Amino acid sequence: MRRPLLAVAFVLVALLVVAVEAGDSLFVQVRETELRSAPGFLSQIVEKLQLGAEVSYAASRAGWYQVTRPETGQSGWIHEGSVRENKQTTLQLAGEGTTRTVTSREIALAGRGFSESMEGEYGAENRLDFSAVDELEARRVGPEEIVAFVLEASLRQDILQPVEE
Amino acid sequence: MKSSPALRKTLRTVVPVTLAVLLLGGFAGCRLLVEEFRAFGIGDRFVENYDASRLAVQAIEADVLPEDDEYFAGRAAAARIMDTYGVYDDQAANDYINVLGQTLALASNRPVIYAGYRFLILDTDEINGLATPGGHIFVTRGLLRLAEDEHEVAAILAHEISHVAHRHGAQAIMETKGRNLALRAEALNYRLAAVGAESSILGRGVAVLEERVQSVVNALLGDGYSVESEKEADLGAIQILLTLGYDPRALTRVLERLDDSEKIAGRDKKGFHQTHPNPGRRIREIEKRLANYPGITQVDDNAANRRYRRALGDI
Repeated sequence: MRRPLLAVAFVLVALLVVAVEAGDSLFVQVRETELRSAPGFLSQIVEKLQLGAEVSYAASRAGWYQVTRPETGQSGWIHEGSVRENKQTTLQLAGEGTTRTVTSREIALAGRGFSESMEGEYGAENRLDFSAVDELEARRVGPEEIVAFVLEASLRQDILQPVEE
Repeated sequence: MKSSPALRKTLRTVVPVTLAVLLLGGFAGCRLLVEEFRAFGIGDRFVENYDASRLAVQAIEADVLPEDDEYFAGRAAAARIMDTYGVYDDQAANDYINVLGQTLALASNRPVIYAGYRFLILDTDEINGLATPGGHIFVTRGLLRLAEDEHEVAAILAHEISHVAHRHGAQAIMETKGRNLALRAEALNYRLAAVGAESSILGRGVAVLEERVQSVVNALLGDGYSVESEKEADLGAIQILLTLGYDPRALTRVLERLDDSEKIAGRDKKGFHQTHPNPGRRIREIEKRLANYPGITQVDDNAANRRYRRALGDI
């Protein structure tokens, strides 16, 4: 059990230095997000991306990153909050003289499934029902509803437009 | 939650010591910390490897919680809140605050979170607004009754969104040191061991979740967030309202009515009054920021009020 712990320690320290450069590898840190044709929440969706999906950084504009999918060569824009830098660290394991490479993406993905099981146990122990929370989370508002809502009462439309340079 | 008096007593003693070690001694005093882990019986692996423990604690100290950790703590807190309060069973009203809320969230400084923002009305006269770190935002009928138009409902929701956007729930988790700190270190360890996790590991994971949820629930239903966090949420709300063209003074109007309701209720310190600082002080802070605001909005108030009344007229 020593290795993983040490790995986590080193990777997290590495994560603290944040400065994204062209060609850097990023990964999706939210459950699902969209790669879009322009930097804005209502721009056309190029591709839906799931937790852990990798993208390569090219440029940024007002909170949005222009990225490329290494697997498909597909390019587009993604909100900076949906991705995290994928740091790779080679670790010198204390007292063993061996090395091991770990990425922050691996750590993020390692939690998948485990968190769900943990919630199940927690719910059973505390007699908590999560179905009401699931129902609440299912209530996702679509982009067309947001557009209609903004236009109906003449709200400011900045959030509907792609961000300018 | 299961938290024995003996454990609480131990925590009261140990937490300040842990903090002192971290603040004064940096990590030179880590030996003491390791021994505290051992005292709780939850950190054997740290004790096995002194260096590993030192580095893990250091990393966690400086790190923010991963997105999905906030989300799962938030989900469990949401389940507890929904277990405590009933849901206001009015589809139109809940749909309205979801469309309004999710529109407002897009104008916040953190429009993207792990699973998005969701909004729900709780069926109680108590005046309260609760935001979990997972983006589940609850407002009570009592709180919504303080609003008289869409600008004011928007102000209430924008304030709660800002708590999530500024990670106040996550801070509440991070600030619960001592046992929680050790548990967090273990939680990170489990992430890597998670594939093929054994049941004993899962058991420990549940303890981590339990601790986190308790931190969030304590902040939401107990002492509330700090005065500083409330101020940050008010200012975040103003920014959201301005971005969408809503009247930012709607927030002060709601706070004034809240102040009145407090006076009538004789400040019994329940619900919102318990979890939020004195409205008078907040109003003064907001007005300071809005000194140069011209007070003109372009919102079509007829249309906004029509849909507001249709959805929340009977709240």
